[in-house]
Amino acid sequence: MVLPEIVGINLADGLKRVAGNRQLYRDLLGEFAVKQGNAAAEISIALESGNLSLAERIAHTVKGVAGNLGIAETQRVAEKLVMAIRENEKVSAAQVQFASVMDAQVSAIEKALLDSASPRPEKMPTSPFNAEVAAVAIARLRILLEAGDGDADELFLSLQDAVEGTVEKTHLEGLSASISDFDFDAALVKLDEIANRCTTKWG
Amino acid sequence: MNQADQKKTVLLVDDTPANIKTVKAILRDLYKIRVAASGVKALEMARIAPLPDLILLDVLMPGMDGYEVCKQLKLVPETRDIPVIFRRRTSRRKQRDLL
Repeated sequence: MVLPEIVGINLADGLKRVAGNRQLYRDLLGEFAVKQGNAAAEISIALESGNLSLAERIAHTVKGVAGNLGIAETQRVAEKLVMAIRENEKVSAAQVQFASVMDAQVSAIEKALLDSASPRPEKMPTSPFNAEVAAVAIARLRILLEAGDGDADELFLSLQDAVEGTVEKTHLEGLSASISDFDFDAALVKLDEIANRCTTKWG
Repeated sequence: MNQADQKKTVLLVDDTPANIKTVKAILRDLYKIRVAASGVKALEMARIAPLPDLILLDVLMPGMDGYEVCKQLKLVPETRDIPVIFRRRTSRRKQRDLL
């Protein structure tokens, strides 16, 4: 697993915070760039419409996530912005600084991840579709989602193996995204759709 | 009873997926992890058996925040005794007021 050095990021610190899981850390950096990448713009809009608590919460989320990943400079300016909004003092200066650091950091992450990307190995179809195996995988995943179980993401992979080729990729991707966001209610709805597809095709 | 059943259960409550993932990575070998991505969901999850042994609760969340979740947990007899740890730095006074 290649983890490039990225300006503004304390790699050793960040890795320590995910118990040394390099793949997870890499995924989380990518997620940071995608999900927090618009934070500066969202904060501007919130401030312009007078929604200070929303603006503060967005900055606070960036601060927290950056802190958890060792993205030190971003964490620092996000914290400054949180304080500025809370105290209503020098907000626009803090905003400008935040936007500029954030913009550079997100670009640096995107570039580093792209440059060091290794092609994912082509997945071989494991075995022909087996309706019973698929039904069991669906039932097990449903139980975990209903209980909010943190291992749901891993069980998703076995479901994926079981129904790949039978269920359209977009359906699996949608379910995967909801599980990744821990939106288990949405995931359950998508799982039911996948279950229906399996039964109409093979039931 | 296998080993997985003997693990204590921690309920992580946070509206930011990335934060859940980092905490989960650290705790998963030691605890059974359950997740709620909102305050409302946390109240629902806290009442599903087996009840969590501990709740790690984010304070700042859209909708129902961590303080409100904590209050609600303390109002219900079955969840009243589950220990709660707030996961964000916040003013000591506000934490004290809740206890």
